[in-house]
Amino acid sequence: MIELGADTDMVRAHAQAMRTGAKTLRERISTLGSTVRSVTWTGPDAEEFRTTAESQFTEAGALLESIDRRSDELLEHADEQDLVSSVDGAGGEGDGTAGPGGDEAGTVKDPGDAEGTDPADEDIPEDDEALDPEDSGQGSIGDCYLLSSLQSLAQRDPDFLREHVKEVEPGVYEVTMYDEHGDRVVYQVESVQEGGVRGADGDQSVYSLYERAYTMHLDARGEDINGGYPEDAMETLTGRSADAYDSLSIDELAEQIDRGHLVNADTGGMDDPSHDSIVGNHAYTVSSVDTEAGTVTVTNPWTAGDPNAPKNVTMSHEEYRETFGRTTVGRTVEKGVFEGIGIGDGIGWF
Amino acid sequence: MTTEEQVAIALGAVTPWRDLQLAIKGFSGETGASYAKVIVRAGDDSQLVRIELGETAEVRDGLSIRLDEVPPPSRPEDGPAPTGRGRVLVTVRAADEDGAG
Repeated sequence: MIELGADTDMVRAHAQAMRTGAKTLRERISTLGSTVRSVTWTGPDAEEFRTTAESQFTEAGALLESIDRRSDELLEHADEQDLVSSVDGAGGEGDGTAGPGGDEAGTVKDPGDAEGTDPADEDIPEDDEALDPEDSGQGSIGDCYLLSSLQSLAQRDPDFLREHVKEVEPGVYEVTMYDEHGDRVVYQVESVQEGGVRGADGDQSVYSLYERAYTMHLDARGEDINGGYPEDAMETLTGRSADAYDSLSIDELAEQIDRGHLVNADTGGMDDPSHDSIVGNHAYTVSSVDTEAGTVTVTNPWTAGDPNAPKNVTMSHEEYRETFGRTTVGRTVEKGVFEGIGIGDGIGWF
Repeated sequence: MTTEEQVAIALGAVTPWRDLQLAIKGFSGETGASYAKVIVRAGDDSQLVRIELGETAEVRDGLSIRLDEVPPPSRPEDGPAPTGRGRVLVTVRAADEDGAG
């Protein structure tokens, strides 16, 4: 057997450890529930306490079921891994699906002359200035969900962006992204989207290369780049899970920023937001949070300088909640088992 | 002489037309109350123009925009909506000597 990417025995052992841990937690929560219910305590405070506790036990049960499902997913991945790693297995280099987590990766080649593209420039800069969202401007493509995610990456982990783009010959770049299983896929990019994102000076940028690679990624799936979800873009860019929330408290937002996570806010489904400076059906990067002032600053993927759609907008957290129906959190490092659980949904930490 | 051209403006994006940049700040697709708020930018100058469906708004001398079509309204019951999907159709009418800006 040729082994690619992961030790499936270890993956199965990890799945079993998750299931065992969930079982232990389930037993302890059950014991805790019995204790809460057996206490002799009457009155409104007691009723409120028990109601809250029961609600949290229910939510904890849902969480543990989620962990069980993740465990099942791991087992499925292990089975798939064994299949593609076997001599007679499916998959293989060149089809864009090989190399789960390993060095071997499928490569998808840009024809270079696809309709609606321009040839890529040579020596597209990757320095801090070139990656700065302030110097980037979205074009006529409806991919704000992707560009706001790229801006987040540029703010939180610019080296990640650089490490995933390599000019292999003049005007030809390899952009590494990830498929639905978190497996690496290399897009060999020789062009950029016509009318797409450019630097403030109008030149092609690293964002342009990612935009082209993402278009190729979606083309392979029969999907259009116009319109999408930030969590899908984040997961494709990073290979790590991303989560969308209806709302996060200001402390939760600040915590995600402090952890170096990618944080986006969007008005998807909000056709005409009441905020004067925020555009409807649009995605922004959450650039900073000031818990003392109670404010959140978001960054528009559009070019700076338009007073009707400013590049940066600082607003109170209350305005943020009213304006943005969804906040998305992504990451470039492995998600912790309990990370992301409990924020924004009232579950809290155990 | 004037030029009249229909332009599709993608939601959440910036569409160039001649030396203008057109974008949609917001819209309503409700029947009988449809409108769009169109950002018209020329260099450092930016205007926000609200236009009712089928109506024409003068942006400045020699430049007007008619709202031809808006997407259907987003409904919460339809679940999470993607961003940047859909377009607004406008007809831009410009005096040639104006150069659209």
